[in-house]
Amino acid sequence: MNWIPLLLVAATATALVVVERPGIQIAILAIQYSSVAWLTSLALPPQVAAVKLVAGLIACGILALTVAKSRPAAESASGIAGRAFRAIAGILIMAAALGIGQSNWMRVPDIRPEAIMAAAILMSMGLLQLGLFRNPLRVSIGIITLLSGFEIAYSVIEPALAILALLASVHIGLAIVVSYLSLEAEPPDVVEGSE
Amino acid sequence: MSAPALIFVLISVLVVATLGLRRRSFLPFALAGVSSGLIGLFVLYAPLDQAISLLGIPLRLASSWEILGRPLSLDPQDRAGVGFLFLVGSLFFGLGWAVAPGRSFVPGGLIALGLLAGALTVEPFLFAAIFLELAAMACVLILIPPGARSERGALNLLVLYSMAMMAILFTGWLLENVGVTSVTPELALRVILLLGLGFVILLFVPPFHYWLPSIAHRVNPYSLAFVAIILQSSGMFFLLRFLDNFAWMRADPRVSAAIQAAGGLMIVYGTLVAVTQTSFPKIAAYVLLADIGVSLIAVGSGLTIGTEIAMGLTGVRVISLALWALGSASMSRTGYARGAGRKAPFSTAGGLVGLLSLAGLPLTAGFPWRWALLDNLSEGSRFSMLLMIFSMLAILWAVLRWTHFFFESGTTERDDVEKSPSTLAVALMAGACLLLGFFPQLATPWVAQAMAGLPNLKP
Repeated sequence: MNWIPLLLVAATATALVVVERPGIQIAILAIQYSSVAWLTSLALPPQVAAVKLVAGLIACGILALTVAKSRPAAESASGIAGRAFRAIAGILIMAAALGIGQSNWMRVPDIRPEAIMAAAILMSMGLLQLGLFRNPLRVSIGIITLLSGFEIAYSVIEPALAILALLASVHIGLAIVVSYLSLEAEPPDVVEGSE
Repeated sequence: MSAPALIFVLISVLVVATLGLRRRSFLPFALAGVSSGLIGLFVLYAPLDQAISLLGIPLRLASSWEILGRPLSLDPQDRAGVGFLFLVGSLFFGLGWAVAPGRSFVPGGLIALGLLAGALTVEPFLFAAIFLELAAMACVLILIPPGARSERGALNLLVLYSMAMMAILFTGWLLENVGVTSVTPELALRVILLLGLGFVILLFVPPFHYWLPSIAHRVNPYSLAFVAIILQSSGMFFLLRFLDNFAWMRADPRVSAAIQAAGGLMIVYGTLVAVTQTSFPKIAAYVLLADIGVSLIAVGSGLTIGTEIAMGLTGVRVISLALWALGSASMSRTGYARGAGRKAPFSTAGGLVGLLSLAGLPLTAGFPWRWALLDNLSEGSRFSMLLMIFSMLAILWAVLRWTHFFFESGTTERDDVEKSPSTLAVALMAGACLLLGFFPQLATPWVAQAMAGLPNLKP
């Protein structure tokens, strides 16, 4: 049963690298948050793990509103080739993450194998997204993916509510900053070859 | 009533007030400048945890405030750092109206200062990493004001601080729960490496400095200087607290060697790139790197007064960078073009003197502390001494080259590029820079208070 969120994490993290439409990305991110909350509940009481889900959904809500309000960005014409490149990169990184995640690579005591595997996948795919993308929304999703992976492992060793709340505020803060950059600031004049 | 709660309420009120006044040109800067200064003085000098009488009303201000089970404590070891940050805020807010750094500067700056104060006061202090990440977010709002172009460099700042946060949080758990000491060499090495990753980001050690020059020529220099100062100073205070709290870390020769190596790298890299720069705003970013490198040399030198010198350098860096930023922000109207010095002589001179002070040239605020370091470094640190002297001379040469470029004859004559408020602000900071160059002891009371909070690093 606990393999379901792991599979969801792997699928959503890969999809976030490939999918280009912002609205769909945010929907996928919401599913990823749900999976992360599920995996966190392996170590924390469900009502505490739900903090992550609520914060994540608030962040997704802010991002969704931002996407709805912002001017449609010039389509990044990556085409099939771009998507194929990102899919291959995603698969390669996923393979590496699957290898790393088979052992307790963070040496966190009492962590479930599914959780450490999910942490490896999310952190690797988050780094990949940070390397590939330049626009604020995608960079923020990359940071969120990276942080989510870290938090799955960190919640095992530091289950304090204060830390959970502070980390949740980081996710919401990121969404607010991206919203600000998308709505208040002018878009960067960068041609994004990788997107 | 508790002092941290009082500060939190005050900052919240100020943020709301300055947001409401953000379309005014002078009022939000004045309000934030005065309030921030008062908060800074309150933090430094208010009697905490003792009964006092204010206008006949008996009062007792607690130094600690518990929130979600974690205390924010204004302990003696935090007060100098927190007070310093608010005084920096006071200076930058107070003079900011002269160069119009953008509508988000004051509210964003207050939020960032509040979060950094939280970072320095939270217990256990390892959780400060999360506050630093949140402060970096507020700094993005300062760097990219409404209507300005969104910059990749600002996002890079977020990416880097997220990584630093993860590294420091994980290290914190290792230190608190696994029991790392000098007799657990494998774990100690792991902690040093993870912590090293966190601190190279917080202290802008290359190659993790790249967000800074990448936006230096695109954002308002004044905003950039403020962000660089508050983030880097907090990183430095954080590093010193780690060293003060963990005896095994102080005793491990690898730690001091790594700090010195990072400092040396920053001096060499910062200096070499600064002298080859063709962009005036970017040159300050690299000179700043070299200056931070000198502070790291002081911290890692093992000298009994090394930490004191690093604190002194942190203090005078504010003046040097503020002077450069005021001059540079006013100069931006000239496009930093050849002959800009004839259009805006005061601002140009201010920008150039600010650079000289950052580089630690004689007669400027940066010099006495560097001199003290050079004077105290032993025979074994001859390489570091040579690096520092090389850096000073190379940057002097670069500044002379820029002086020639800006004041070259046969170019445009003076026009109304310089406004009187900015000229006045530059003159004030130039005066402060020279004053601290001649009388460095003016900064010593604050340095002494900062050192009192670091008993294990005290000479």
